[in-house]
Amino acid sequence: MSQSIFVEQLTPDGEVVHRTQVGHLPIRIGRAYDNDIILNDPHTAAHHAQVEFNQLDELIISDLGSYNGITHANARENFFVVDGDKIYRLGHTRLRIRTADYQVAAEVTDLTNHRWEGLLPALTGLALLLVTALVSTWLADLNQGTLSKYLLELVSVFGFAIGWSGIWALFSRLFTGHARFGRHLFIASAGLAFLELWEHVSGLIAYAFSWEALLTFSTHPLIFICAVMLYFHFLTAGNKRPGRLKMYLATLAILASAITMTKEYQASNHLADELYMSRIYPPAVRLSRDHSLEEFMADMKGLKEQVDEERKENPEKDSSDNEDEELDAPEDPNEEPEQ
Amino acid sequence: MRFPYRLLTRAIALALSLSVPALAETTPTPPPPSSSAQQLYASAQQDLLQLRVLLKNGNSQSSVGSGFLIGNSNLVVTNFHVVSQIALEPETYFGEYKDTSGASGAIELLAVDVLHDLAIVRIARAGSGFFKVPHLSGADKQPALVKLNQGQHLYSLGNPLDLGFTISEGTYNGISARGFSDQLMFTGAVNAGMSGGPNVTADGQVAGVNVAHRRDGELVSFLVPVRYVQALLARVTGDMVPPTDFKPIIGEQLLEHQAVMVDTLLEKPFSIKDLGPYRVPVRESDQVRCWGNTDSSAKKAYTIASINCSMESAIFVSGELQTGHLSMHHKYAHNKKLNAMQFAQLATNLFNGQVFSTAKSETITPAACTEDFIKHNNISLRALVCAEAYHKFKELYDFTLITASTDSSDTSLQSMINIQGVSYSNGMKLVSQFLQDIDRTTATGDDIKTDADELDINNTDSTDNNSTQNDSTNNNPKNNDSTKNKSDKKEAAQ
Repeated sequence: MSQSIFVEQLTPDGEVVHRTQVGHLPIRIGRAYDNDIILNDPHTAAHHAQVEFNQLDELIISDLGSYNGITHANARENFFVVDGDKIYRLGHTRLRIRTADYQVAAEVTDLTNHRWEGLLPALTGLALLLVTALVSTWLADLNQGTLSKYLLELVSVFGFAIGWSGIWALFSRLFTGHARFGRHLFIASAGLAFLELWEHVSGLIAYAFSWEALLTFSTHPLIFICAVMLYFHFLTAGNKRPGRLKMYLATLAILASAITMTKEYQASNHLADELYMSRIYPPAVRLSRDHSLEEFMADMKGLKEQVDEERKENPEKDSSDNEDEELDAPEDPNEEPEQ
Repeated sequence: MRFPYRLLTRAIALALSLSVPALAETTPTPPPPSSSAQQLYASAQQDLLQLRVLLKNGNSQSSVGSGFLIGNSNLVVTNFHVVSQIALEPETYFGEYKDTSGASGAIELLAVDVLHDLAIVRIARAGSGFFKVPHLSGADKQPALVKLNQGQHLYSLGNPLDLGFTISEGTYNGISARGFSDQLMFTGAVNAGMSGGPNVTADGQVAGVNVAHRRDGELVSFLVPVRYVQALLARVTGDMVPPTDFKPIIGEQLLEHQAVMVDTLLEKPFSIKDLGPYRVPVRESDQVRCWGNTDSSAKKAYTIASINCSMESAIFVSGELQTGHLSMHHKYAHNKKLNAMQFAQLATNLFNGQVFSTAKSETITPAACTEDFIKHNNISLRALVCAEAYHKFKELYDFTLITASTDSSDTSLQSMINIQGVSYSNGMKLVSQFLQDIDRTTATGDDIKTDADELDINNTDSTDNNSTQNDSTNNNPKNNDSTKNKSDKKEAAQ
């Protein structure tokens, strides 16, 4: 039975670096030039391992007396019965051995939209960015500015989006050999548009229903949108493990939120980014009910307890100071009536 | 080669002609020394002191002022702001005196009157009896004091800017009612460092204590009337044991003051002013001054008119804490060319960033706030109120209320009241009264017609405001005065 045997050298991530087809057995592996497969790894022996059939007619890989040996799943053995799905480590070299009759996995459905590359997403993204920038500049344009103001705004937004996408395209190019600048530009533009959209939508909702928290904790949704944007950038740049990537980005987002809140708390004793809801919208937007003056004053009365609580620390410190002083000057008792 | 010489001589001649008037200015013919001032200084100098507050750690000086010995006692009168650090942080600061002969010694704080900015300290030396303030210990009825007439000559003594002891001559110009307690106006030089020094008549009777000057004016200075010194002296004896902690005493005085202050402020209902279709409350009185401003250039897409009222006096407690103050602000924005969403953005900009909370202050707590949409009278508002408590003084709070009208997409009224150093119930009283008085002349104009009417009204308003703009620019420096005045007091302590 002269069956072809394929010896594959893999990266730590499991990608094939070299695939060598050998038509005869045994196959000798090592650094020496008389081997069938020559390794570059200094952590392997000159004649490190051999692939052959044993008495039971099983294909095995056996150690030829090397110092570092052969390991699988961190267990070193003198020989392993070859399994096409397992990876054997020789020094720093990872090997997988398959025969021609190895059953490969089923074909994976292609979910990638191959038409959504290049100019199409790039132009869509830029159009989205153009609309967003114009609308937001117009809304904030209280002094009826000139055309140059709008142009300047557009140039800076476009410049940022293109620069940012360019960096991601460079990454993609490095890791996958495919820049995919158009897609990155679309992701960046969509992200910026979402940030802007959220700014307005959250303001409107908060004002309509008097949900102050939506605006006072405004940073956290923005962090979330940025994390989603990064997720798609990484995927486009060739990340193969979306599950792990999601976890990393979620951790990063939570960390960023926590840092923001800690910083705010230290500065103002409030977790929120802003002390109050400062957005005002036209009356037509209002949906929540009006409160009476009495209700408002009752709420104000309730604040007393909160601020009184806050001032506790210092008086305690003061009273301990007083005790010290009383110990120093026991003849003090007649001080009080004087004042 | 001759030409440059001629030029040079010309230049010299020119320089001489220019410098002559300057020389005449800097060395005026010395006026004949006022004999009374000479005599006064000669006899007063023994009892005149410089007071310094020093850091226990490092012995470096932190503030310098003046003081004077009363009669033959060992009691020294000065300003509270000169020794406030000793009163508030006795663990960090201590005091020292230095007299005109250069001798020095320790001082001991006995009593304070924060409202009138007075303090009494004790030193290990008796006065020669020059500065007399007739007073009876503990008695209700005090002896009569010197009567002053406008234009009368007065003399302020002290150690200005730590340069050396001086005497400055000036005139008495009546009582200033800008604060909640009287101050005498003295048209003479009172500089930083002279704070706490005596002001006497030509025959040596104490008229008052140097306290502050206006930086924007020339020789506009203020004195604490001697009757407050008398009242404070009546509560002090030369051999009393000083209180260990002045904070409760100061707190009590502040609490007493705020009661008087709020009663005075609410004595009459607030006066109501029109701002476009809105009616807003202000308080205009001797203590609270208002000024207005309009920004209505034809180029702009909107107009903003504002009324600002502020109390001219505040009580100095420490460098970080001035209290017993109130201000009111109203801003009225009217849309001319903006879209409804853009105008909302303008209202947002006005409403944004007006109230802060800080966890880093050692004087006040972080703010606790509540906000809501409220509707009363003819108006609906978005309102936010924040309260802050004083760490060191019980029962005293700061309040800020801001409101924005929410009933029109073409006009916006934004109001603010800022109250410092009042009790909680008084704060609620002021806030409630202020809110109650914000109103609209007409019911919400949903239909275009009323809006158009308002537009006309406003146009006439804005031209009126234009004519008052000149006045208001004149008024604006006055506005800054109140803050300058406060900083003067602070400066005087250093």
